[in-house]
Amino acid sequence: MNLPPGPLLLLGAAASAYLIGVLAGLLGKADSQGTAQVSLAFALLGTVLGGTSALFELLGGSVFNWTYVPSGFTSPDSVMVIGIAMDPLSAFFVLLISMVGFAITLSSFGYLDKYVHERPATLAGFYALFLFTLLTVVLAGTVFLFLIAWEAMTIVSYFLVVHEHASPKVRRSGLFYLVISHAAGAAVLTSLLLLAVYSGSPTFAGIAQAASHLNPWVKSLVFVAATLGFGTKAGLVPLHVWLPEAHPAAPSNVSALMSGVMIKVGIYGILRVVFQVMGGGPLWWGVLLLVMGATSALVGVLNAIAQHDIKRLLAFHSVENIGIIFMALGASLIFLSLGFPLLAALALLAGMLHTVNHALFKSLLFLGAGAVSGAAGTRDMEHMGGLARAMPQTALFFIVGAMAISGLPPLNGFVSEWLLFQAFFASFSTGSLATEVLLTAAGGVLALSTGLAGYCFVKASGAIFLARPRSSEAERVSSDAPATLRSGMAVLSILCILLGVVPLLAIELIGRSVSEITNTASPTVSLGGVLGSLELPSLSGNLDLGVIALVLAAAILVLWVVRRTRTAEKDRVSPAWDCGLDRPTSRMEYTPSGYAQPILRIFASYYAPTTLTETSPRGGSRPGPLMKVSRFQSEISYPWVEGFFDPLKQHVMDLARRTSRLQSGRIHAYLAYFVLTLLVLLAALWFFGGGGP
Amino acid sequence: MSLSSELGIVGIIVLEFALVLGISPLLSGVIRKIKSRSQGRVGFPIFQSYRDLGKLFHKGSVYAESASAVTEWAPLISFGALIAAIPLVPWLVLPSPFGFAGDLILFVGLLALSRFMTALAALDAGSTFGGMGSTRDMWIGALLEPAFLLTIFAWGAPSGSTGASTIALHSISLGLANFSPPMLLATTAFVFVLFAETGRLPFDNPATHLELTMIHEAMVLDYSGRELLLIEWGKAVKFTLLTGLLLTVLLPWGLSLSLGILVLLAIAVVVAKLLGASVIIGALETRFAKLRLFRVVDFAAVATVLALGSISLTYLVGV
Amino acid sequence: MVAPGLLALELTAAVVLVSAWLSLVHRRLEAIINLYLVQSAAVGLIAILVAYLYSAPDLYLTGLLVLGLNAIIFPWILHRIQREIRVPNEIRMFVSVRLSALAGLGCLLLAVAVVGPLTPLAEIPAAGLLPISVAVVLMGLFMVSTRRKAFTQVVGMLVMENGVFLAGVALTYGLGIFLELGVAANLLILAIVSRIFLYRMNDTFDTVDADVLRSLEG
Repeated sequence: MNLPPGPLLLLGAAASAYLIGVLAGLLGKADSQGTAQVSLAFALLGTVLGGTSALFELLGGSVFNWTYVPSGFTSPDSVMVIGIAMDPLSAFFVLLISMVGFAITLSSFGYLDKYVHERPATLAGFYALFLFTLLTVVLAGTVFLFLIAWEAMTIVSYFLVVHEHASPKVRRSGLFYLVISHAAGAAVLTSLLLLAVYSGSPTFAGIAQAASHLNPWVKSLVFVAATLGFGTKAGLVPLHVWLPEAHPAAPSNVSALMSGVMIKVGIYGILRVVFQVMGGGPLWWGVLLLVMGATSALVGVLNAIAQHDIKRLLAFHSVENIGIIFMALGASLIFLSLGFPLLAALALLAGMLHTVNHALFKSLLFLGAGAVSGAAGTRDMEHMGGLARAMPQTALFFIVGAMAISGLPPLNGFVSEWLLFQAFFASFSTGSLATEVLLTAAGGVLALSTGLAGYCFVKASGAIFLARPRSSEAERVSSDAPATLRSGMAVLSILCILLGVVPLLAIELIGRSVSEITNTASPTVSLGGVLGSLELPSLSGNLDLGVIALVLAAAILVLWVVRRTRTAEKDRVSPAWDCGLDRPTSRMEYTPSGYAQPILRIFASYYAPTTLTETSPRGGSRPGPLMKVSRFQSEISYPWVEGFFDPLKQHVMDLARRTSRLQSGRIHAYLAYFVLTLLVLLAALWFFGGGGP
Repeated sequence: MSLSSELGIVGIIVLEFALVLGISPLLSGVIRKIKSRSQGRVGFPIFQSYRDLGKLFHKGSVYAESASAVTEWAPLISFGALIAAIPLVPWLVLPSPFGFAGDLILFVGLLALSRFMTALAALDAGSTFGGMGSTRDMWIGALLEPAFLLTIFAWGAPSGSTGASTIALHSISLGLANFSPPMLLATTAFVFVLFAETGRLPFDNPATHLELTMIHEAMVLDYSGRELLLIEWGKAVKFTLLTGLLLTVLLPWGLSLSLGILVLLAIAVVVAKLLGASVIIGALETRFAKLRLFRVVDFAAVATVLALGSISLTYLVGV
Repeated sequence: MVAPGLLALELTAAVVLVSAWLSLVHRRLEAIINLYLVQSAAVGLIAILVAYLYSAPDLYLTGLLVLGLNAIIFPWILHRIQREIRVPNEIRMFVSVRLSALAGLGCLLLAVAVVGPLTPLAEIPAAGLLPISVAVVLMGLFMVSTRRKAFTQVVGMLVMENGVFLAGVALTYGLGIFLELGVAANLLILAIVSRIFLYRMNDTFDTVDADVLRSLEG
């Protein structure tokens, strides 16, 4: 008997660590801070072990498959087979989950203080279980295990979302999330069972081998179901509606994990099913993903701009970034179907790199949001302001994340967007006008959404950290976030900078799954430069952010030194000048809604804002003969919710009301239903002439 | 590579930094002069900008009470980003010795970094006008980003590269054929971008001091001393960068193709081209009246669409 | 290396395209008339260039006719009418500037996709000439159909005429002098008719807003 390979042993250890963490958290005293810390410590250990295992796999390249057939199912072709498998794609996602999970878990120690009286140990236990289910989803080698893990992930995340279940709003958001995830689960189930049944294999590897013989109609059906199911999990418009509800409701470390990692599992699903197993498809698949991605990018960023709640803002930015990733996947599918595997590899690389990058900066931003909303006691940015002086390190980390998500060099967000721009630019070599126009227009959409993201994050960073505090709570903040919380953010910030300056670190690890999927031998980038530069085939462009970072750093250093030299006059501090206004107060500042107003006005046809202005002659804080008190209120509408989901909900409710007549409460009626169902099933079996077991 | 040629490369890069940073205040002086003359005024001497910057260098800064470290650092990063963008454009030698560092998409990114930092800094003092200028600058920049990027796509399409040097070399190899219909459309789009990014009429009036109409001036109201120096100088450098990029693509002739003595000639040619372009841009600016702020959106849309039109014509002409 | 003459042709055609596009999105009537002037001058120049390059002497005359009529007389008439009946300078459109710009792109894309493959049929091997002329015709059509004022609609028709002329040049070195004279005469009549029409409309309704004609419906 051979020993299991190293990565598998490590994975086993990681799984054990997680499960010990789960047991400790859920079985120990719910209100014990110590138990919670033990549980988190084991989760932290799990991330380290799991990450190491994935690194071994990605660097050493030992693919392993381990399948378990439960007794009673003699044929290994039966669907109910449990197995885990680690190929480069799984390993990449294991690494992603572990790396980001490590930083978030580190921060969670500091975050627990907020939950002293709200069952910290339970939170920690479910948190560890959530990480474990995430890992299981991406490691599942068979359809059956994948589906189990997928549902478990949904349910565990639901428990985490409703952790603060005393609030009815949280309960409502949680239910909304659960229902939508359930519908998505049905779509995932459909797509995977179709694959398993028509290919006659329970494992992904087996399906991949049989995939080329599948009926194209079945494949397209699988594609549509997978897009619906995984797209919902990822937060693709118009399936994104749960995201801005669930993320703010959850504790911040959980939102970080959901937004940073869980929605990426949706991306994993698409990569696994559409790319790796089915190997791409007809042109319209790619066009569909590209168009949905572009729509998500714009809808996400436009809605984000209009938010005051920092966590809702971040949730909408997840929609935007998922849109960008889907644009990359769509472009890759288009190139694949047109027969340009190298370009497909380039686009896929851009998409996967953006998946990593978004995981890093989005969890960083969520942790920052947790830190400031914990300190200021509100998530509403209107009531923050001036926090940079009390929380300088949190401010620094948040601004690094803000710059990364805005796609600014020399940070990681820029690299993946650069690669994607290059992929769009390369459409010129396909020689088809339609492809050219479509992908160039996609480039325009990407540029616009990146620009607007910058706008949104100047607004958010400024509203939270700069100027004067706009509420007494914000004024009272006197100390920075706990050290563990800050260290988690520090890890993520450093990774954001590192992957910006030396993107090859990530690209090397992604490269293997990309070349496996697209069947291209050569990697899309070459080594060179000071810290490894990117150079694309056929001369289309080059990027060496290492050098640029050096020049930037040198320039800033020189400027700083010169700045420090003595001047004739001394520097001094005085009230803000503000064109000579009398001592400006925080009420004269630009608020986040004021900042966002121009965009609301420009895109009014999208937002369809309803505004309300009231002027009352008396009342308010300072009534006087010359002063009237005015109140202004502005609400934006959510066309995707109001135009699509609300009517859908109405229909479902109507249907439910009609079916509720069946619920007579009499036992005889229920028995009759049983019999009726049985008869219908038997008739169906007879009619379709099913083979039976 | 021999030591002397490496020294030559370093020399060229230093020369380019000095050229761009040095000539920028002059160019803004020239434009101001042109505008004054067209309005029947004598105007400032064209070297006044240097004196203004020198004066700011010797002044101490006044910080707002509410300011944080952002006030101190953001102008440095903003200016640093512009410095890092300088060597991405070939100023004297083709191909640019520093071209390996990045292409024009990076150029757009660095300009965006610079804008992000100034807009963030404008919020730090907590003054009303700072916020006003910041939001305006950011949304105009965001809406023009597609036009900027698609112009680069359109310029790059014939040579199949987004690198400035490759595009310029391709332009030279085309000779007169460089002045093609797609080039005309893309250049028109880029002129829109240039005027908006550098805050010129009809988008912003750099000469105004009426708070409600301005963008850039509103952002820097609470800045003083050396921070203000960096922001003002940076604005001039940004103009030189964008004008230089336009000249590199449209009229790349006159650059040296080797590291020899021809570089000196190239300096003269580049200075002449930049001065000429400034005169034209200044004259063009006098033809416009300030646009109502929200009309800028239409400008951005037209620029984007023109760039897309250029790309579709490129397809026709054949790559 | 392409011949410089052909380059000049293409570039001038691009000037026609850009001016048509800008008149689609401009909001000031005076500017649109001036853009039409530039456009007509470019069209006349193209005719003369073709006459020179392909030694087709009758095109010299046509070119001069275009320069004289389209680039000088028509804009002058238009400016005068605008002054005399005080057509407001601001254009009123049915669609926004952004949509108009996009429609211009649509016209261009349509022309490139449909006419682009036909380019080898053209007598003049300047690849852009034929699609650009078709795009200009489409843009003129768009102007005619989306402007409220009869006045601007007339300008749109003139833009269309320029496009048709350009296509004629690209396909056959010009339509032949007599045909062209016929077209020009027709247009002159059209201009006169529209002028009378505008005056009458102004007298009757005190406006040249074509929308008020709806009130004539039974």
